[in-house]
Amino acid sequence: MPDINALIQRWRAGDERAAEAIYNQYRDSTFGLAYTLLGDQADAEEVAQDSLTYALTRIESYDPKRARFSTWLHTITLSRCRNKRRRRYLPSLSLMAWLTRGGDAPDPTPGPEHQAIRETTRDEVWEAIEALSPPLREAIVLRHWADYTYQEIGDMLGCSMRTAQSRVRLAHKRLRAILAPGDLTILEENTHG
Amino acid sequence: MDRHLSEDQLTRHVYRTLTDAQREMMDIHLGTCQECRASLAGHEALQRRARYSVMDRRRGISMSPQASFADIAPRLRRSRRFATLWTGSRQFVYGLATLAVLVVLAFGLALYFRDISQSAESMYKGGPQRTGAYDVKGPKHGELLWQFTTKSTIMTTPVVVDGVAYVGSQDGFLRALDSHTGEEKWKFDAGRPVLSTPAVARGTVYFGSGCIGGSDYCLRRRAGSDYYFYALDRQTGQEKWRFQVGGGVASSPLIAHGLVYFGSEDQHLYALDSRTGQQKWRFTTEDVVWGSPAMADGVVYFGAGCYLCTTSEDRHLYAVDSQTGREMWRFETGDWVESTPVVADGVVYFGSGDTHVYAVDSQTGQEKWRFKTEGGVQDSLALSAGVVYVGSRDQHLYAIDSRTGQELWKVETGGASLYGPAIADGVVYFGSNATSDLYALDSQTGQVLWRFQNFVSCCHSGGSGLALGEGVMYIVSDNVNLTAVGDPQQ
Repeated sequence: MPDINALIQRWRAGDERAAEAIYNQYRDSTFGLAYTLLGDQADAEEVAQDSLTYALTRIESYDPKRARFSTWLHTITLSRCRNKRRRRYLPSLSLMAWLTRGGDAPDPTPGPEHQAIRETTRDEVWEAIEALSPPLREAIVLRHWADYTYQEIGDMLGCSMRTAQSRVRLAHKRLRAILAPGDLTILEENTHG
Repeated sequence: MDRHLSEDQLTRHVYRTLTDAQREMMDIHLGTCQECRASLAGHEALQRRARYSVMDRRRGISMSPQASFADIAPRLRRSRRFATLWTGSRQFVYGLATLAVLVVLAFGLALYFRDISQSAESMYKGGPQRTGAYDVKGPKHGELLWQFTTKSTIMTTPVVVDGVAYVGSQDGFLRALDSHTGEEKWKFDAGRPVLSTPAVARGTVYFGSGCIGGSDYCLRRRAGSDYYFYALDRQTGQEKWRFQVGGGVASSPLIAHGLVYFGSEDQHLYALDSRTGQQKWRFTTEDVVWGSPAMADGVVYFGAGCYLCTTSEDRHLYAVDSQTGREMWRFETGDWVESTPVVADGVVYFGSGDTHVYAVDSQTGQEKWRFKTEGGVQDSLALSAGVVYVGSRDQHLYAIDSRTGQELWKVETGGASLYGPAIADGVVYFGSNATSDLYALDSQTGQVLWRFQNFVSCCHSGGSGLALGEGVMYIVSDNVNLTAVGDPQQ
């Protein structure tokens, strides 16, 4: 794997192939983080492309002394995920839908195919993670997803290291509270088994 | 550690947020407590499962092949072109921006300093309290610095501000002179004698004119019966507004809180809007208001009657509300009150034609003390450091304790009319028209520090005739000269 700092230097000098190499190196991890946080393929792809574009066009502002490139890029990704999530929850109604009220409104429930996939891959723990509030979900995902240190998590979330630790612990406690006692017993039995 | 570990402790253990010492203590307990070991195993199981679930999201799905670098490359190229363009032109743009900032800054500073200079003000006897005390180092020598000669008698005391001296004369002109060289900058023709010592505030010169007492000079000029109070642009001498008065104006204006106050021969004290010249109020007395008003704590003080009036109908000092013109109190003396009052520390000091100097409470008008001289006391009072300095027509200059009214010292002036006194830095300056000499006295002892002989000669009675600047004294000499006397090279 080429040295990221050398690639950054080349891209700063105008070598587009270096930019492409950086893109290819971080494409999947950026998408993976976005998907983990958003849970939607299209949204995650959009966020990943947008985050990589932003990072590459603002490459002059990246300071290797302050953070790893991956940390910097994923901070950008995290920020865009938040924006995407915020927009998703904004109430919206198209003008045409309003004018033709009574027409067919899109059904928000998942289709049969999607439902089948969800059934076969049901993961109670992930469902519990998805039920966490965004700050707690972000903290625990970052902790497990890339083994970021608490300091790095704090930097990415824009809070102190102690707050990052506190959020991770609180997320853990909430997960225990959300999961049914039966689920926890099964987990423990599997562990002992 | 005998108690079981708490949920929080177990969570901290699992997520490694303990100090080494805390961890060691817990490990000792875990070594002996099966129940806590079981609880910890449950927490660890959940942590591992959460980790697995998160990692599974990464493994389970990948970005579609359609999303590629080619999608974002055009945006990167545009951005790169813009960056290149920006790098190339950055110096030019920065230069342009710096220039723009400097221009704006220079413009702002120019406005600021214009405002500062516009806000500079100067009034007769040093300000509204009329103490005659100047916050400057007065001259230590009596060298002649420059002299400006008119063809007519100079009737006012000079007023100096920002390098310009303003004086009025009997030929009807108000003149602005360079205070360093005496060169004339502009003059304004008021059409009749200017006896009113001008006042300068907010870029405007205020003064009045008129033929007080219907003098021969005025009768010869057939100047008519209209009298005006003027506001001129201080820099150019252009008229801003004029206000018609029922009689001549010898009183020097006082400017405060947006109003300008002055007295008139028509037996009124006027208060006008200083910007527009609109009358706010006027106060009626029983005789001419010759002297100049003084002000402190929102109250205007002034006297009525004059030395030249054959019989004075009004012998009062008045205190009126500066905003409404409502009378607060009046103090009766035995004769005219031509003297401009001096106000300081809750006391009003003034002289009267009845030969006394009075000190009265500024709030109530109650007499505190009176000091008797042997002649009428005109416009020749000053106050500094607890001492009232008074020139009397009995040909003496007195120093009186302002608190008790006791005489501290007196010097003979040799004449009834007096220039000054004015005080600066512990020195009392005055001129005597009888001896034609100009004096500088030690304010504590009355000893003569220096004397400038054969200099003063005037019958001037429109004001003190003397103003102080840094190392310089401005005085009217031989009727027609405005003269600067003081330290050389100042």
